[in-house]
Amino acid sequence: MLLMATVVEVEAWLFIVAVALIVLLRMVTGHIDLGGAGFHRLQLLIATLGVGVYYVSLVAANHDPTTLPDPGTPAAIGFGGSGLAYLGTKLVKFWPAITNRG
Amino acid sequence: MGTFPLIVGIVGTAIIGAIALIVVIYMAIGKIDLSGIISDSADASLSRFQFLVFTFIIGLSYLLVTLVVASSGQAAGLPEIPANVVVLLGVSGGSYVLSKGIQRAAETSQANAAQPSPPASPITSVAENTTIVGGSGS
Repeated sequence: MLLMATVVEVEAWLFIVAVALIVLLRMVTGHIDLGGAGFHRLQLLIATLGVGVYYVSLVAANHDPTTLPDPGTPAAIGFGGSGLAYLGTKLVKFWPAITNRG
Repeated sequence: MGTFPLIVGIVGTAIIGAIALIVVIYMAIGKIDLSGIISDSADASLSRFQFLVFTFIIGLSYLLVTLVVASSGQAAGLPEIPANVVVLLGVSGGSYVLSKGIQRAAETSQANAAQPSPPASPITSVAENTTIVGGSGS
């Protein structure tokens, strides 16, 4: 069982690191369009990958094996704020279309 | 440690690992399109990407803690989930749903606006249905 727990931990690390690397590589090689990059999208992408890596590191260093590690209120608030900023900007962008004024 | 939890652990680890591997490979070869993930003009869904990442991370973490608990045998039942973890999952899931809702509302509204107005109903009169017979007399 402990071997499987180690395997799962490695899976979690590999997943988040691989996703972050793929996104970064695709940006560098031009496969991700940066032409019309919106800051609200960029900040959400960074927050997603950042909080993801942070949480996997918390799980790896978890001293209480009976519960998932608590990421803490500041991380939750920061992540929620990032999501709200993204949604707010998207709502402002789509508002004229929603109200048929676009 | 019984055989059943061991089998469940192996199967769970294999399934989630395989799905994660397929997702990563598809992202790497471009079958999952990330090209418009940052661009404002593109159609790619960043909120869907975020939901995917958090589902895997929290799912894998939960499986990990469950396996550690099962191996130590110190506690019965499933591991606790702190409120802030629920908040993280809720934020990523909620922002995905709201993002789709905003997009769909805009599309529906534009489609309704683009629909042509129905043609005016034809004016029918008694004269249209009247057949005039005769007239020349020849």
